[in-house]
Amino acid sequence: MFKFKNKNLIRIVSFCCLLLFLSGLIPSVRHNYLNVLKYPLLLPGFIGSEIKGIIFYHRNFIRYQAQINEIDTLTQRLNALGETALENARLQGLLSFKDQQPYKTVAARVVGRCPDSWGSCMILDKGNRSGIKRGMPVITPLGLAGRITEVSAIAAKAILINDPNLNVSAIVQRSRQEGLISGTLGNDLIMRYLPEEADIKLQDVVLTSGLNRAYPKGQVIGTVVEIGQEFSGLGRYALIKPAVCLSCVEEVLVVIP
Amino acid sequence: MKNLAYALYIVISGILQLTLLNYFSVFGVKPDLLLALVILVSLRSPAGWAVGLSLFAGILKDIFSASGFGINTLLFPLWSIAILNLNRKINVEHDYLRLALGFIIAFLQNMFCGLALSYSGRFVPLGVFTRILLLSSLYTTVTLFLFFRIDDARKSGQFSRYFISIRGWAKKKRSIFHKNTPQP
Repeated sequence: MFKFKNKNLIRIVSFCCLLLFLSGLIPSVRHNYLNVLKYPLLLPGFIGSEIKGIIFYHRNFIRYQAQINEIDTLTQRLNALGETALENARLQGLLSFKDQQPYKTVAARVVGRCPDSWGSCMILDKGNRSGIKRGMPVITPLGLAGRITEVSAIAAKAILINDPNLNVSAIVQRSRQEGLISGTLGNDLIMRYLPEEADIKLQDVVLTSGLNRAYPKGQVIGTVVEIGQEFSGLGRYALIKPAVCLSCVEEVLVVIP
Repeated sequence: MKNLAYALYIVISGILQLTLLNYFSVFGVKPDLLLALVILVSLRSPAGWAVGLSLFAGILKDIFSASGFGINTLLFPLWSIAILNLNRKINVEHDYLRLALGFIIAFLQNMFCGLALSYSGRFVPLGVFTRILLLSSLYTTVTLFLFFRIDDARKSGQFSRYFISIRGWAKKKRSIFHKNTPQP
């Protein structure tokens, strides 16, 4: 259908080479673009959240009332736990346990999401100036959310745990069974390379293992919702429902080790 | 001027793709506004502008996407060249033909992105792969249809007529207001 002369062919090949070169350069030019485009990204997010607030006013009001009741219950429980914490601290002192260093966190707002369906990432409104660096874990109060992949002065890009490019070393809280969790682009994560005799059950909670120090130990990743046999027959896999609602997270904490 | 307007559409679409479009995702899949614009621009702009704008759209998408390699920077101009070549051979002005072309391009784009991800050793379940492949392509085609309609309306001057009527209404209101305001 398309007939190319020699000259045209040379032009097209050189153009394709140029494109290949440009596409290879993309990762290095991202930082500057992130800086420039951060501010226009804030505006639609603000408008969207205001519209959502108006549309879901009634639902929010009901949730607010339910949460007030919950706060009362939790305050009572917290008071009771205060005593236990004091006792625990006393006992730790007696056993000469070293206190684990609490990590610092930087709160950041999500201003953008991944533009295509073949990845899962978010753009944060804080960057280098706030102390964020590449490779830092991103968490929410509910559990692990992802990891920083690119940082500019005032913005950062974080890859979420349901992206296939991110792997997290994890353990099952109950049995301490280790495994590797990776994203599937769907609603669930997959825990692979589990041996046949792995002690894992439905509704088991899965945590970060802290083995490679990339993520703080003990962060909740999710719960087991399905266990199956690998296609190769060499082991088992488990599907994990993430503890964090990855599609609706609006504020995150970046852990600074 | 028309081509600069397309450039502006690309920037606006890029911002929408990153922000508000998440509210319109179906089964976690959202349309590719930038690809739809690349197809529109390739059918309605001169070759140089079309390829240039496609490259711009590809770079814009790659900057914010999760992949480490600029796959969209590579593919968008190639789709643009393919459409320009096809448009020289056959007339693609009919609605159904445009939509079919849009679906094929979106399908191929998704296929390449999915296969690149799979062949780089990442695990993507077949169900998720198929869902994104089909739904995203369909959704992009629907968006393309809307873009064509909006562009047709812009070309036929419907938008300008609408703005003129709003301006006329505002003028009328202002004159009534001035008439009723007591002068000092």
